[in-house]
Amino acid sequence: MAIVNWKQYNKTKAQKILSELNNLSKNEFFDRINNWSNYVKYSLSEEYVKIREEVIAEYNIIDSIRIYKNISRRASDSSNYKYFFDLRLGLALHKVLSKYGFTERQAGNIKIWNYLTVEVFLDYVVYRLDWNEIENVSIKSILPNRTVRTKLSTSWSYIHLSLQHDSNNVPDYELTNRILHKNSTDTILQLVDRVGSGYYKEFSRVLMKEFYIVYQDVGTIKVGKVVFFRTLMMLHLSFILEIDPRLMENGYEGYCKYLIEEAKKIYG
Amino acid sequence: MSRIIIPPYRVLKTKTFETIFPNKNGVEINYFYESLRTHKRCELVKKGTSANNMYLEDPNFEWNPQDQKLNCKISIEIHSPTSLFSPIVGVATPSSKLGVAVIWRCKESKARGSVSLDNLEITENSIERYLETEFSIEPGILIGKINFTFVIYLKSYVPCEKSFGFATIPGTILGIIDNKDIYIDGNGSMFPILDEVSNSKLLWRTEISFDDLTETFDEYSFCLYFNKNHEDYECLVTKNKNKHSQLFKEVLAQALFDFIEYARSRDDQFIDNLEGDFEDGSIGRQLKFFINVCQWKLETSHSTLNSIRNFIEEKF
Repeated sequence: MAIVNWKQYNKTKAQKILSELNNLSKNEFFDRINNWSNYVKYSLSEEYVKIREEVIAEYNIIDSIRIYKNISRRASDSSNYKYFFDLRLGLALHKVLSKYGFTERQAGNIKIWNYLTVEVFLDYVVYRLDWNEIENVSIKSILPNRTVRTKLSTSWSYIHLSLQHDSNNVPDYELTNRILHKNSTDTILQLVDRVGSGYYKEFSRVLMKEFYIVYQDVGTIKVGKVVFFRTLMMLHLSFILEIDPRLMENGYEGYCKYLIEEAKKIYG
Repeated sequence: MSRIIIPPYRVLKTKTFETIFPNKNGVEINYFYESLRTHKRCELVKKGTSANNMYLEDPNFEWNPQDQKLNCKISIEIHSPTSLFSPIVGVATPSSKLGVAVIWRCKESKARGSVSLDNLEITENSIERYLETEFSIEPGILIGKINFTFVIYLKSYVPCEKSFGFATIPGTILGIIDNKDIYIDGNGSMFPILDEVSNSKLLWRTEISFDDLTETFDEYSFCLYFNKNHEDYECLVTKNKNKHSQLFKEVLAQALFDFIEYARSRDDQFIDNLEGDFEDGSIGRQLKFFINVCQWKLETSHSTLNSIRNFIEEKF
């Protein structure tokens, strides 16, 4: 059942709610966060409770990352932990929200993400922070000051721009997970934040698949994944000022292969 | 800061451009959608003073970019394109082929795409043509402002002797024919009026709920509902010679009055508090608009109702 009017909070309203949480003591705050599932049953409308439950069912690893139960993660694990968190949450969000008619039109509206962040999935956004961040950073920083993205919207966009489809053109979330699971938070940054003057989603979906395939052949590329992907995206941003990916021979596939070959040349 | 890009290959020069695309209005583009009720093709009306900067209006109030495609019909006139292949001012070698494409971008949804207008292949031997072609953009993508850039690009490259300085990679953009911007949603506050089917005896009702003036002015903070089950519903919504009924105007005035009084009940000093900055689309910004632009006098309940009624009588 599609939602026609997605609830929205402007920044002031969202910040106000976070400020109120900021006034709680640490214990009260974590109590609230760890009991968020119960709390939202009274604070949210039925359809948003349902969305939340479905996202959690998809995510289904939440118990293993409860902050009070497992706080001994080493700092070196932090990046991996955050990546898998973003990946799984992004997959769950994309799969469930699509069922409710959530499209790029809604994804482009930061006010919808503000509502989802502070009212529906606040516990998830807090769980993503690492322990030091929770201890030292004001909870208000959950909503970034300057960027137009929230953590939830970034995770959703990462999946949307990488989404794979089966032969019937139905989204294949398992395949998407498989091609993405060896990436890192830097891949998200490069793909989502190097926006240029807009995303060619069909191009980025082909690119993510090709990038996965390229790194299946061990030794073909003499540079780490992070550096190579960064190079690809930098080249792409400079190429699209002159070349339109879809207008190349063989369309997006042809362009991706060209891009990868050009990036390979840089690293000999 | 704008970026200046000097491409390492030949691009379309203004003089060459003017001889090939002599129509000063550039590319003509009309917008359509398919009605979900009648399955007929309906045209969206272009409004605005500049041909390159319009907003689209649906006279039938039916088109919803969330669920319906935007179909674009393009008319383009191309004069003899021989000069595009000339060794001096041309942009491609004589045996190469050029194409015309449209690149669309939607800033708010950050989506972009391109469509090659396949029946517009240009070769050295092409003759003067007036062509019409169509493309569409899928539902659920467009929001706010959409930019269309019409370009000439290299479709296939065939080298020749003395082919110096030409682009060689197919897909390379060689020149911009035209640029158009359209708007499909406004950026300001919405005035939420919804129809409902209710067993209530009331013809209309309001739902108002907000804590302070920084909240968004939307259907969650204020909504006027019309009851479709009520026997006078048709009298309320039917327009006569494109004018709203007197009943509609009276209902609207009373609903807006309720809204102002609700704000007053939350904070009887709310007019003084409007001095601060408010975000676009917030209740505070909306109230400022009522006071400054609509000239409503909100000092007392009596002056509020009178000024709202005067305003609505004048404007509707």
